[in-house]
Amino acid sequence: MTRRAAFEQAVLPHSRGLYAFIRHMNRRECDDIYQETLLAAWEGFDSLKDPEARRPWLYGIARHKAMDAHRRQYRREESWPEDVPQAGFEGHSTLRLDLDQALSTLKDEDRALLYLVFNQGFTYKTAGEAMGIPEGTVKSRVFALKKRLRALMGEQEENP
Amino acid sequence: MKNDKQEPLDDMAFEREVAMALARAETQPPAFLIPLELPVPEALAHSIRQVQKAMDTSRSAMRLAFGFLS
Repeated sequence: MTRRAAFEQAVLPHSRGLYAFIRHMNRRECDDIYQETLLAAWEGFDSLKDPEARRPWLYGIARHKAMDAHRRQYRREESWPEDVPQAGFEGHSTLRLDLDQALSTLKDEDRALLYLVFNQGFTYKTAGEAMGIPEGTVKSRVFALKKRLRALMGEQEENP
Repeated sequence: MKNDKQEPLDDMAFEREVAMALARAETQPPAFLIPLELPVPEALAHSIRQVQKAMDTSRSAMRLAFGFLS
């Protein structure tokens, strides 16, 4: 198998999830970050032997590239919910709308972390590898984020 | 923001709701074109390595010189 074919087989199936992760991390420059991520993955592909480590490695590159882009950008709040097509809200419950608003108050990295755990099926360990934080921190952060979201939605009081 | 009309969801259901909201960021990514790999003749690769080595040496010498001056 050629290097190109091996890369396509190993990396490109993750492209949709990877792109969504990048959109959560940095919506404004997501296209550029996505290209930079895959280019870096292509260049470093030979150094990666363990197929199990592939996904956290790939998402880790994306996180680094998104952080680099953040540093380059002006410091201003991302307007995440406004960028989501409004048609998507039609017919959804009140809860969904409130949840979107609550999610938009989270930091980009926290939203991306939830995406890895809830949508991409990352374990706390692999999510930690991708996000550059210890497994225990992932666990406590996910717990705190859920609690915060519920509090923002008025389901329960948020303790300090 | 307050959600008075609905009962609090259990943990699993709440995670599903969050996942559904987060999934709306999923869309077709832009195409990625794998860069073409141009074959470089060994003689040229050797020359490039020599030039890189010379540049590294010059950089070290400059750093050393500035270190003495300052």
